[in-house]
Amino acid sequence: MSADFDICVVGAGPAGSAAALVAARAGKSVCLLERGPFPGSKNMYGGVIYGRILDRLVPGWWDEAPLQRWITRRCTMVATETQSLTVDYRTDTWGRPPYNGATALRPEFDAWLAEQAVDAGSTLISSTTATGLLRGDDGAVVGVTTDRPDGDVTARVVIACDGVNSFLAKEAGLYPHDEAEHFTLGVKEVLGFSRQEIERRFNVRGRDGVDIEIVGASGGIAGGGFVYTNLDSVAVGLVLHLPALAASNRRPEDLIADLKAHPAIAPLVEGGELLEYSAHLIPEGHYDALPEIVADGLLVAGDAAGLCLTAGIWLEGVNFAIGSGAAAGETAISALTRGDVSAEGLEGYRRRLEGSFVLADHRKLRLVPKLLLSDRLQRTYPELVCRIVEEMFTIRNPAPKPGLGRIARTEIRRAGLKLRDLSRDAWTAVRSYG
Amino acid sequence: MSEPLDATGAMTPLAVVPVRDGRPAPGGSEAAAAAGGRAWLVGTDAEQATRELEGTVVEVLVSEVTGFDPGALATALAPHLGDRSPVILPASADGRDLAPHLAHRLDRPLVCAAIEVSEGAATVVTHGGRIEHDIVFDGPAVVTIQPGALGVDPDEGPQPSPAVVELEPPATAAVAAVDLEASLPPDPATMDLSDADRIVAGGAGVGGPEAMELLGRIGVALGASLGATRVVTDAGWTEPERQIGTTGVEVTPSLYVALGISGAVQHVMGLGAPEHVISVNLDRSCPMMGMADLAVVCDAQELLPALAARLGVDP
Amino acid sequence: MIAVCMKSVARRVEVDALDATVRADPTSWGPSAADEAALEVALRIAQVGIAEVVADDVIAVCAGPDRADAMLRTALACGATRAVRVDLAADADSTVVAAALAAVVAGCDLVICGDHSLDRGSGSVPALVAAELGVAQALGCVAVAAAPDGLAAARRTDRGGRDLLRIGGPAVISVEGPVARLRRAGVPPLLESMDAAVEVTFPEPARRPHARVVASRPYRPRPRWHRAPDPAAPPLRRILDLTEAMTERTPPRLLELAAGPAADAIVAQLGDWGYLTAAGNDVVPTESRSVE
Ligand SMILES: Cc1cc2nc3c(=O)[nH]c(=O)nc-3n(C[C@H](O)[C@H](O)[C@H](O)COP(=O)(O)OP(=O)(O)OC[C@H]3O[C@@H](n4cnc5c(N)ncnc54)[C@H](O)[C@@H]3O)c2cc1C
Ligand SMILES: Cc1cc2nc3c(=O)[nH]c(=O)nc-3n(C[C@H](O)[C@H](O)[C@H](O)COP(=O)(O)OP(=O)(O)OC[C@H]3O[C@@H](n4cnc5c(N)ncnc54)[C@H](O)[C@@H]3O)c2cc1C
Ligand SMILES: Nc1ncnc2c1ncn2[C@@H]1O[C@H](COP(=O)(O)O)[C@@H](O)[C@H]1O
Repeated sequence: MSADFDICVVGAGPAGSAAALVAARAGKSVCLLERGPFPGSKNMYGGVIYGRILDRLVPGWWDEAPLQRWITRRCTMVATETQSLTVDYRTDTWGRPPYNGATALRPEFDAWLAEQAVDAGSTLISSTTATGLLRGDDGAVVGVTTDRPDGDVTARVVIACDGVNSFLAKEAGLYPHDEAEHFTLGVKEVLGFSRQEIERRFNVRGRDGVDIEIVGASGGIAGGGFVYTNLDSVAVGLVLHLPALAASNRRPEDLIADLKAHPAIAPLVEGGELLEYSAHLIPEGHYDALPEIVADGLLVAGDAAGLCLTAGIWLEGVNFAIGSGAAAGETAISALTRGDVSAEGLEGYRRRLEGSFVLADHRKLRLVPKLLLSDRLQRTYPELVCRIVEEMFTIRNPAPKPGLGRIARTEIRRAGLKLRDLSRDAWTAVRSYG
Repeated sequence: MSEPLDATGAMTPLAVVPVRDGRPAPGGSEAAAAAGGRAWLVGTDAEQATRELEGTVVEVLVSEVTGFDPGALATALAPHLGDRSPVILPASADGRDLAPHLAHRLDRPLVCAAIEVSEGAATVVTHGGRIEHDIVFDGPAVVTIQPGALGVDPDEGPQPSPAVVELEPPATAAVAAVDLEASLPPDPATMDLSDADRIVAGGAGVGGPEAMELLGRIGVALGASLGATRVVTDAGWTEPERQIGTTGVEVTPSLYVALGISGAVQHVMGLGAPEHVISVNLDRSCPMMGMADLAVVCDAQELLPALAARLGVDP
Repeated sequence: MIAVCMKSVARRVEVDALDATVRADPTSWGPSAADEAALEVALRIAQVGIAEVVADDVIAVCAGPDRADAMLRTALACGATRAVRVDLAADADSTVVAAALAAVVAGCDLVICGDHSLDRGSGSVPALVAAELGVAQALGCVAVAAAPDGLAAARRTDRGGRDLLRIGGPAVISVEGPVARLRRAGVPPLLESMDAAVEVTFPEPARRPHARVVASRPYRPRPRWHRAPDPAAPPLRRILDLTEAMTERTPPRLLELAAGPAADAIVAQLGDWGYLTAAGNDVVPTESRSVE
């Protein structure tokens, strides 16, 4: 049997499975290559997944997908070494269809999504690594080579979904910058607890869960911390701006240990059994530095295309991976129908992304990474806010209470902040989120 | 020739112990002890093997058998076994060869890898020695026991004189399908390990061949020989002769230092009863940690260079 | 024809430390390293083609439930010519498994098995198959070499020895995992195997006598064996002997330490036991000693 398909998708992560699902549903012959023994086997970390993107692809996904807990409490914490201020938002709406975010174990979630693609007719070949691109006489991509004997797979369109630092996109010459400054390192520990213990510590019931995002507790290194609940484990970790981490000479393990010892975090994570420690690069999806994502016979999606939003507390990738994967699949289908799989024929991909949340969100939030990673946001503001609140709530009888305005003015001056920076940062935030 | 086997009452246990060149299979004396001191030694120079069972047998039968055909041997033995039960064999290489054929010829249940056995019941281990199961059998059965599992308590009573049972020469095919061309003795490197009084040993947890090499040099500094688990020797991290356990070398050190070893039965049973045990493992609850006088929860891979430094060994 | 017996086992399991419940990682089902080696040995023998023994057909056989089909299809992709699954419960007794396998492999020139399965691990199925078929056996092979004039094998024996065997007729062979590494299937045969049919047979319910499991728990090492106290000694002495109350023995200690302190603790303990000063070795554990 010859290994020839309409579409060859490389990488069965969320992006690849979404692309394969869409293309197979349209009746195309699809091959989905995965280097791990099963989809998700290389993604040994969990995460918060925002599933609404699945509404269209897998209606009723919330009953089918292997999810851990629905996020019904989202806490944003600003912290200094000894203080913390948390905005704790809780809503029942996020615990009912159509839901919002959920925690998931990626080996389970990725395997499930790939199964949808296989059920739709894709051919999944696991334990198989794509090792290079096959090119036609005109230089167009016509398939991939793999590490199996007799391992070439030919296809009209190749969709590279091989994750961060994509080898295929690089080989296609689409990915010029792989310098450290475009990456963030994610490190995470998973700690085992009983379900009851998690319900008690995090004040939730049943399938409800909590996501806590923390600014200012990453050891002075630009980045952010997170804590979230699975069914019977808690994930705690950091995302760290790679250049800052390198400059600090500190080990990520030690930084996690410090986070776990923080007085606001320790009571939540103390005494858990360490189930897993993992580290993984995350592309820093920067709208102004997005790579080329189309070539003759080739589309790039998900992390491979740098489509991941991360900066400090911000960490969204799975939804963008699914969104861009689906768009790549749709683009390939219509290009095949029109019989033009050249770069021009595939050009609609970029437009589809611009028209969807994938690039709209990236555009909207283009200034956020810089803001979130700035020294002011990482250090000065957390300290300032905590001090203002501490002043407000510290009772110094018989001295009378000072007014909030006076406290704020004093503390802003003490922090050496210029009003101009403050208002500019505020404006960036309003423009991005407003 | 008398038939001493028929004279005994039904449901009396009997050990069948394979013998090679006058040496009983490992676990032979335990099988004999578990069978109440009644053993049938079969193999080459079988009579000579009684000496190693001294103190554990009250009744010995011997049969001289040559050749390599467990099926034929079982056919020859079966008619003599009557309803002796359980028939107990050591789970050594030769015992595991023979026991299934006996069970098949006698149409009896086969109970493998027991660490305890009594009339009508046994405790066996599975999953690489991680789980034990209590087993019952209603009628007569064939049981193999894990060498080293039971221990023996030799008695200084008078040694019984062995009774010789002549066996019908097993009806083997004219041209054997499987022919024994040679039996190689263990390598000298193995002998040194089995005589060693101090052993440092590595398991899967040490992580690789470099670590085993360093552990070997740490051993030299301590006057200890290097041992390993089967996982390590199978992976080629050190020579196969260094494998300690029921299918490797049986050792009797007084000091045993175990790094990254889980303590599966097949390993531990080849260990004798060391006076002093140190175990280093990340899993505080594995059997090897339970056996240790000093159990250290620590990453063995990180520990090795630190230990080397303290003993003046180049890391 | 060569038959290969392969069992689909959970290659990653967690054993509950309290009640010994086995939780299989559902993604880890497949053949053990030993069963993969068995398949590779069979494929190599089939390629070489040894005199009087074999045609180049390799049949992969498994007794078990249908989750084994994926494993059997992979065997087809690697070069097996037929795949047969005998439908049987996963917990069937080894005697029943062997009878079911024997019914399928009867008439084959060679039957190749793994040395032991990962779960049951008794290594008895190959011998039972040989008994059922009435053929010779070579179990626990650590090396198998196929030459046109026959098969040479080395088998592990007790106390570290080896038997060198020559195999020239119908036989059951079992091999250990390191004997051979299974080849990777090419992409075209892999694709073909995806829709290949696994032949399924439903065995006559075999009535073989077997024992029953009545309770399970995690393995714990038994207490060390003690020599019986001298019956002539006074009662107190005998009690002391039995309980080892007066024998000097370090009470067990459990420490959780980083590498440096752990090494210190171990060196100190070895020193206390007298292993650092014994004749014939002059270990001087000091910080001052050069460690370059
Ligand atoms: C610590 C951490 C926490 C995160 N938390 C979140 C979160 O909470 N929420 C969120 O939305 N996102 C999160 N992300 C980001 C998210 O994981 C990624 O954006 C997302 O997985 C991208 O999906 P993908 O399909 O593009 O790539 P991947 O998920 O990386 O999948 C790529 C797949 O391709 C396979 N592959 C790679 N190379 C080859 C090859 N040559 N041949 C064959 N197969 C190949 C891989 O094995 C893998 O299965 C987090 C990331 C990290 C590191
Ligand atoms: C018939 C038969 C005969 C056998 N004969 C033998 C035999 O003669 N000899 C033998 O040894 N085995 C034998 N075995 C195999 C035996 O069952 C076990 O599989 C083997 O002994 C396990 O070896 P291990 O302890 O090295 O590996 P594992 O059981 O995998 O244990 C590794 C240990 O290392 C620990 N660890 C992991 N990482 C680290 C780290 N970084 N630092 C510290 N600790 C760490 C883990 O917690 C674990 O406890 C036999 C099996 C069968 C079925
Ligand atoms: N259910 C089974 N199906 C096929 N082969 C088996 C089965 N059980 C055991 N075997 C074979 O027998 C070998 C030894 O298994 P065991 O006797 O269970 O230790 C395995 O490596 C397989 O080759």
